[in-house]
Amino acid sequence: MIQLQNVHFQYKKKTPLFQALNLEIPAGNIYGLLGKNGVGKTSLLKLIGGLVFPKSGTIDVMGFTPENRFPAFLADLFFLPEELHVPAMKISTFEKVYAPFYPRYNSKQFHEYLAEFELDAGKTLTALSQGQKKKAITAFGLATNSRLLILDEPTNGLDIPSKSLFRKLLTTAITDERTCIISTHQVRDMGNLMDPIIIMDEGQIIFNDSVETIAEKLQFEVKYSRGEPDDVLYAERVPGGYMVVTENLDGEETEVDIEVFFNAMMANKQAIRALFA
Amino acid sequence: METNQFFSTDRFKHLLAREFAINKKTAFLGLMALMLIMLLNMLVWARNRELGFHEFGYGFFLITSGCILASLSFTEMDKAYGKQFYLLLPASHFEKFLSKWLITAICYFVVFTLSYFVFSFIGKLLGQTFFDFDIGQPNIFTEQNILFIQVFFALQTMYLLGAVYFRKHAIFKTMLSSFLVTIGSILIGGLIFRIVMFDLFDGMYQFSPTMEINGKMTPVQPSGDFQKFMRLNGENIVRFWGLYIIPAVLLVVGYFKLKETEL
Repeated sequence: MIQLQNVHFQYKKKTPLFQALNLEIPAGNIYGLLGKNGVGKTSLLKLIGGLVFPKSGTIDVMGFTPENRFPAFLADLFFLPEELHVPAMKISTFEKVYAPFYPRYNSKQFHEYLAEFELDAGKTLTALSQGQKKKAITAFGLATNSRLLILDEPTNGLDIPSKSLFRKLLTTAITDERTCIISTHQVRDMGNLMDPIIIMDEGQIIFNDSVETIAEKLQFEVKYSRGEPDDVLYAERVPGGYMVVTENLDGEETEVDIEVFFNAMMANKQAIRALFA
Repeated sequence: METNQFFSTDRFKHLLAREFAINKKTAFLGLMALMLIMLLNMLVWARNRELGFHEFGYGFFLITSGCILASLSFTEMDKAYGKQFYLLLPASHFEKFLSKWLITAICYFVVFTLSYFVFSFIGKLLGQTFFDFDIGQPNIFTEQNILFIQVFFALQTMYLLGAVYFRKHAIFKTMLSSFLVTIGSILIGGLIFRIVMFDLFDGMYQFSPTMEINGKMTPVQPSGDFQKFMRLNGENIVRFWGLYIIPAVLLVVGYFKLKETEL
């Protein structure tokens, strides 16, 4: 569905962000895009959405070159940014005005999602709180049934029940033909929703694999000890001991903690990458 | 699914409907405010001056308000997230640019002209009823008003390009840059003329050039045919360039600028 080959990108008068970036994303999953601040997650999403253009290299998204921003491409893409711009109109008017641009839009779904989020279609978008705006636009984005959903920090601004509801709706809305890319720092908000996981660092994709593969290769467990355990790939303090990441030598799979995995990857990049090579 | 990626009437209709839904309230209030200002001017002007308000009022208000409106065409893109929202709207760049041009040029011209007639009629009634004078009826088909309309369409393209090009305060930046471009063009044109026609100059100043022809110093002037041609067509050539060619080029540049816009 998405292919980036040898992509170079930089903002004007700034140091290059991506040099020879390669990435392949097949259809039908909810991808978690993780990385430290400023590593280029949002820029990568913008490249995929055709909002910024690569200096060189090729990008193919659903058979289109994103920078052309062809209507057929845009009609199959919904990009939910971290902060929202909403026009001053009622939710129902918003639907009436914007839905015709999306050929697979489903109004019934939209109203169901709104009801789940406890939003009234008669409310004016600009009068809503940031979280409510996000819910309304997320509901619309899911109802467009576009093949590619890009969500940049989708749970920012959502209250706790809404985060759980968001996970539920996203799980039901994503089919084999639909792909969702979620960029987030709130890994715990997303639960086990994201699979596969893509990790970016220093302008490169340093990891792109499924949670199942992570479980096959690594073990996550809490060791109750006072001192930091030896012979582990990564250890971080938790109440009463350490959460450790070790190589899965006995083939017993443990529950993958994405946040710990990310921290482990950042702390011990070479050793962990070697396991997945 | 619509397969034409350049223009589709359905998408274009949706775009126009979207523009109408977003801007109708502001546009209506803006137009009413403009008409009230114009009505006030109409009454004050007509009482104090011999020259009829309609001789310049229509053109003046059409051009100034039209340029302001064109400058505001892409305010949605002033902020990054608004820009993202607009750029990702599933319509072609051509449709987006054309919809803005159609609204700020053609629709505005029609709405403004109709409103002008309505408010002129109101002004005429008010003048006759309360102030005992007649401010007259507007006629947009005078030679002067037709020129004003042409100038409106030409300048509108410049301000529309400015709206695409500049992220904030487009009207002032367009004014400033058009002023600088005009000054620059005059200077460069003058310099080229000075270099190419160097033998017509003495130092900085043009002198009356003469040339030795058959042993006699003869003043050099453009040929009679050329002078005649320029006398007859010079103004038309300038008008044609200024009112049609340059605006068309500006529209094309505006379209490509929108197409190449990044976040």
